[in-house]
Amino acid sequence: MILCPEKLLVVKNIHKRFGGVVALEDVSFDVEKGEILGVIGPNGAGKTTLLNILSGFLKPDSGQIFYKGRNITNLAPHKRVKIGIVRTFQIPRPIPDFTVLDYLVTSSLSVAGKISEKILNDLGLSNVSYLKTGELTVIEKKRLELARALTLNPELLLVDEVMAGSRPHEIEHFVNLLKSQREKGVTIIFIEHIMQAVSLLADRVIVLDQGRKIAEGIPHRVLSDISVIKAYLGE
Amino acid sequence: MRKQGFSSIINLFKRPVLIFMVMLCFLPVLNLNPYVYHIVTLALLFASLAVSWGILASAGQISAGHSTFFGLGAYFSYFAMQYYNISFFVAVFLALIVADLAAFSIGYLTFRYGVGGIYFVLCTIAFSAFFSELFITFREFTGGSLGVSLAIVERDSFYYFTFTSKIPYYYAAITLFILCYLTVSGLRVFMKRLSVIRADEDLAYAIGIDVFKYKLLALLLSATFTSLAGSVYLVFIRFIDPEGVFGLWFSVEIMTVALLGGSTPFGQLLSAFILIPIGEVLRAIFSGVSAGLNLLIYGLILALIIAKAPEGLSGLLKRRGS
Repeated sequence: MILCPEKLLVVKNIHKRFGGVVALEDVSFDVEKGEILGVIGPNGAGKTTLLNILSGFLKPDSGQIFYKGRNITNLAPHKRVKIGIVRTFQIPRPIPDFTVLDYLVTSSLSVAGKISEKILNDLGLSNVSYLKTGELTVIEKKRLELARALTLNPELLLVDEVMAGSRPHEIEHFVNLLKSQREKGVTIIFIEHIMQAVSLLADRVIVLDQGRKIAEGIPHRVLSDISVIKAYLGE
Repeated sequence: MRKQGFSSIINLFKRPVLIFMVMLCFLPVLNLNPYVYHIVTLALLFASLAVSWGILASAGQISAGHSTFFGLGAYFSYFAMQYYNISFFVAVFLALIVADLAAFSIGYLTFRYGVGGIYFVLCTIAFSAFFSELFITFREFTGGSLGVSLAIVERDSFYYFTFTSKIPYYYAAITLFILCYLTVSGLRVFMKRLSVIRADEDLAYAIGIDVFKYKLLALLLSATFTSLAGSVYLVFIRFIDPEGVFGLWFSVEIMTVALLGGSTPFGQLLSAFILIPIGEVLRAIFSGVSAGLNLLIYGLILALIIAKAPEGLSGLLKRRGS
């Protein structure tokens, strides 16, 4: 099969159910290189399931995923990291007795384990780099989660609600940071509930509701779409 | 250039361990009672066993059957030396290959199918029981449950590493411990990644760690040093029996030293140097008085130490340090 070369990621007809519950139903979309794609939808819409499937933590029941033209549907999660697909977790996963520096050195794929000062600075972690990750505040843990992902030099960054609980100026900081990653050629798919962030950051948005993709397009148009409003607010 | 390489090896030592090792190296100058060197050699062997057990434990895998690799190391060194007149230094490697093959089978079967936690513990016990029975059954080669003595005719043979003096074994044990220690401290990133696997397997996958491969490597590394300790034990004690080297009790002894030591090699070293002499001295004093009395007292002392250091000696040292 010949795929359009500028499509970094092609997702085709993904189905996933957990027992009797349909988590994703026939979800298809694609992402261009350098694009920032927002994934929104009410709670339980299947956003995190989608991200788990893209990162390889879950296998879809059917459907395919192509990355740079290669079928990665059954590729193990750690192997996806090696080809540049890196995720963050919605709930940060500190290791209590690791310092921030240890945590990031261990996350680095290079054996030398050199941590870029820039990542620490960008994420405001320079001052806490010798603290144990268990002692960080909630927001610092969120930043650490993103720092960990950036340390792995992603080409496709999958971000799961990294801004939840942030204050407005912190949101702006996260938005600018992710945009600067895009300048470096990183493609980003992010899940977010904070609409201000979605409209600032996303080039394009897809909306999931009860496992189905109900809308797709540029943020301000999608956010005013009647079916999207219904999905969030009910009839 | 060469000098730089040497100093970077020295830098791998934490200062207390370095001081401890240097002191041990010069201990034979004092020309103490041979029994002292015997006990210190045993303590060093157990310290090495605890450190190598700890490599696998860093990955969150608790083995209660480490005697498997110790027994294979000891018995296959014996086979090679006794039956084929192979030099100790070659026999060590042959035995190590057998131990690693066993480790690979155990690791492949359990880690591939995600057998973890308490079920991994059970599997390791089952494997050591299997080898124990196997070696009791083939008594023409193994001496059955009576065991075998290493009967090397030559005295003081470097080829067979057999000496009348205890000192060569003493230095062999120091070398083995230093080898274990340098491996653990040299593979810093590897060990850190094992800790990530122990703390959070999903996180490990998310940072690109091949969890299966790392667990298997940890087990192989651990089995390698355990097998080496078995080989040294064979030439040191010159007697092995299946129950003694494959038995559950031996695995428990390794675990006791390792768990009391805690998470750092220095803690494990101290733990071995506390528990082994206490065990030996108690046995010498009390085993004649009443059977099992020495173990009772040993248990009481162990309980007291654990009450004072619930996170092991490493935890105690850390708390003192900070």
